[in-house]
Amino acid sequence: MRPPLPTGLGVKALLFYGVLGGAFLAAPYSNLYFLLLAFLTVLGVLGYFWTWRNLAGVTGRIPDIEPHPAGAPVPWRVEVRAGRRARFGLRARMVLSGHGPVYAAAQVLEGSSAIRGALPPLPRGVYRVERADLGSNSPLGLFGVRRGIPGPDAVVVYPSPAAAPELRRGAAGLADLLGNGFSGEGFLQPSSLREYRPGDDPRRIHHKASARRGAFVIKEFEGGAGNGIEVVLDRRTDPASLEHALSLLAAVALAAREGKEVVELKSQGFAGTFGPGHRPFRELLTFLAAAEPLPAGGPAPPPASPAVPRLPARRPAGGRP
Amino acid sequence: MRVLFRLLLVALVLADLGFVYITEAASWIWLGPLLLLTVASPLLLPLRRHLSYRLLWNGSVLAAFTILVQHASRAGVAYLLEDGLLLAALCQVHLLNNIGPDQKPDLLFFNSFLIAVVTSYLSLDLMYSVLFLVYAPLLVLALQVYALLRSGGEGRGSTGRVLRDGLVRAAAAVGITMLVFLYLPRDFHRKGLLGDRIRFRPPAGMLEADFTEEVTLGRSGPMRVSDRVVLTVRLLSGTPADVPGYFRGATLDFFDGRHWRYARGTSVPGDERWVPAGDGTFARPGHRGAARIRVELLDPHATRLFLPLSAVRFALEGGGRGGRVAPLPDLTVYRPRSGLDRQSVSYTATLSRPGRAAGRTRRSRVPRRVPAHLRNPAGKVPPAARSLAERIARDLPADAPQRVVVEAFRSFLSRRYRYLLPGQEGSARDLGEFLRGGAGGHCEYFATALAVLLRIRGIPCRLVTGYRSEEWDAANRVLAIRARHAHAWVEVLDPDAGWMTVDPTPPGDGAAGAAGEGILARLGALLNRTWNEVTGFDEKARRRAVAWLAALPSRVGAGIGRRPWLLLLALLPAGGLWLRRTLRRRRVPPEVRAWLAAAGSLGLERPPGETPRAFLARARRRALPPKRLRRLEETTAAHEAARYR
Repeated sequence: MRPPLPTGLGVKALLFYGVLGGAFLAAPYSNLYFLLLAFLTVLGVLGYFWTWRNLAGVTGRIPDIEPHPAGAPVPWRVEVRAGRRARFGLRARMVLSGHGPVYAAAQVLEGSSAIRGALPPLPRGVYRVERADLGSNSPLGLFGVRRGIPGPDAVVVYPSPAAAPELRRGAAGLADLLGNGFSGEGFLQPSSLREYRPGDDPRRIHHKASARRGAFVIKEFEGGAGNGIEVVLDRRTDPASLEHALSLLAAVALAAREGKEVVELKSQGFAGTFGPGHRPFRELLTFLAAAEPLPAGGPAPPPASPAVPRLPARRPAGGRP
Repeated sequence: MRVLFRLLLVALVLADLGFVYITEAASWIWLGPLLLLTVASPLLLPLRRHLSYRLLWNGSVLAAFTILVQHASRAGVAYLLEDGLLLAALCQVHLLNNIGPDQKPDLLFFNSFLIAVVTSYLSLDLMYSVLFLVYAPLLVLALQVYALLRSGGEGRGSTGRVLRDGLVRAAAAVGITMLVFLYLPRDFHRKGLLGDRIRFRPPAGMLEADFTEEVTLGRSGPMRVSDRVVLTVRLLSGTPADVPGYFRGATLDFFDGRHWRYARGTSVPGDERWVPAGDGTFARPGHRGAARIRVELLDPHATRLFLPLSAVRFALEGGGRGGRVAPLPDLTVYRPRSGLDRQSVSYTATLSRPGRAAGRTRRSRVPRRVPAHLRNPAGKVPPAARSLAERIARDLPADAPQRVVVEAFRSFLSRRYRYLLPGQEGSARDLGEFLRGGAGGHCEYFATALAVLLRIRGIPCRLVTGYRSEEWDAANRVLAIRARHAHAWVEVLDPDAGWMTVDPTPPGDGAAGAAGEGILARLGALLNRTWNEVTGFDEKARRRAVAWLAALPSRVGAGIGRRPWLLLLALLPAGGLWLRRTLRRRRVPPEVRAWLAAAGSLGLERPPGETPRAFLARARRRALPPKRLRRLEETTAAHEAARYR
């Protein structure tokens, strides 16, 4: 923890104190003036000590922030262990590259608690967290103190997902893909049942079988890197088209995550399968948040079956997609 | 929290107006509207949206500002602080009514403290201490709530906690300040760089009850009665009975019907005089002292040293370092002005026993004919005086001794006439009106009436101005003399005893300041004494306080040795706190307490949100003492069993 530094009010107060001190020296000694000046001095010294003590022993961390869509406020929280004493005016700060600091504050904290805040609506992107710290100006606001806390590496703001009708209009092949891909048929199918083992996902409990046997029974799945929802993103396009494509892909990814489906995406320099048993959707959303358009003469995306939908959709000659 | 902050700002400004009120720098014509605008500020604030309201407000502020600046330029620097104080109060009310939720009230805080500082120069009375004790927590609380508001965040349900915390902090700040005030060595007689260039006087048109070297009857206007301590008299030896309450500053012997003044160079043949005895000491040879006092003259602008008539010797402390003094033939002591080196001065005095005629004039040399300057001037005395003198004398035997005559006149005035302060309804405008009995008067009227009546009877006498106080602090053997104790009385030249003090002013005029008998009166006197200790604090008092604090532990030890039950009594609150804490701890399940103790013994930081099981896993990866680790394993298992059973 760094030593407390004067705030804006503190600097003004120091100047004011200097003026009063000068006046005290200019005038003959007066007991009451001395008393007031002593009060001001004590208040300053105590303000310094109290500010330091308000943050001393406080630990905290900012857990990973889930990727959020662009244009929507992003809730975040700081887990704080404040100890037995009440702490006043704790303010968590996260400095995001390319955006600046964002704050979350709590006026009184005690024990283990959380400070909740919301990032303002941000444009699509991956914002590296340059610094995360906890600070306080309390109790008197004359001095401020900060201490670093562990925080997430980045805040991922993926493209705002397209609404369902647009999704159907936007990519011809994607409508079928949605119709088939989200039907629940296919990729990972329950293959057998077995006894529950500690650590198993409770969502995989087969309730009917558990009820029959009187003990928890777990569904086992089988499957592999099958087709699932497969999409190709060709980034050799103009920014507006890319944004639209990314927006559609974000909607697909969210829908797949919701339906516990698998999405396979191929693009220039990026390919992967995401979903249960594969890479986490977070990686896909991070890619969508950071994707940039490529020049027209850039490399082609990895090869895929002609049946796989491509984004942005190719325009048929002389017609709308 | 915003509402609380707004209320605190209102309270802070009200305290500022209280400060201005006790200085009497502003009349109710100013303070009344300011008070109303302060109280109504939460209601007025939303009106700021309207342009017409803002125009009206700013126009009014400008007008008030112009009036104040005009007054300041007319009155000169003498009223700089008073005008400045009122201006600061106006600024406070203006700021309070114009600070929006997103604006910083920094200036309001600084201005409010400035008002407290300026007031400390203009008012030293007990009310200041009361106001400051209200002001200090308000300032701390307002700063605290402001800091919380600036940090943002939710504050619902935390108001009580913030208030409690702020009050504790304010108490700590005030307590430590008092310790600093007691302990810190400093020069109590330090001259400022500007010296006494700025004098603090009451506002124009207002009279101040204080010592004066000239008396003018018929002055009218409101009277300011200040509790400012001007003299402290510490009894070094003798008893309080040896110290008369009358401290002379000047004698006035020439009266022209309205004004009293000192006819310089005149004296009565045979009068005693102060004889220099070297090293700032003056004496009246041939007298024996019965008591010794130390007088501290706190007013650096005083032009007189105040001494009782019974003083037979006085010595300036520091061998006259306090400045030059010039003893006068009337046994008063003049202190010439000498530029910027004015400071409080201390002197010791030896007093003879009262009644032993310290103002003695050698009998053989008492003049048979009353000197001209001790007679009434022809044609200047109101006719009512002659008829009254004849009326009082009618009841006295023709050969009544002078002392009896004097007492008869004194008693007549004292019993038959009303005491009223100048400016009070029914107070006299001149001596004739007072003597006719149609109007009351203050001490100057009583003393003038007696002097004029006695002179009509051919008794030589003069008016004396100074202080009269009976405000004894018996414990510290200190007599406090305040500005409001300023008084005028009469000295009569007795053919046997020399100059005698005669006071015709009826008792209960408020000048003596004797404490009453009730609990409240005694409490008030105690508070006054305590506050006087603060305002009159000096190097000796500091040393006494430091010695007292240093000796406190041994005295406490000795006290406990004599009365061991005192220790028990002192430990009771501590025991209560311990019990409370223990009971509170017992509310936490023992398994959790055991786990916390085991985890704490490992010295590992516990990040928020980490479960005991996760903590154990992390601890296992470290090279930790096996015994402690085992203990953690056991307590973790016990904790889980208790938590999830």
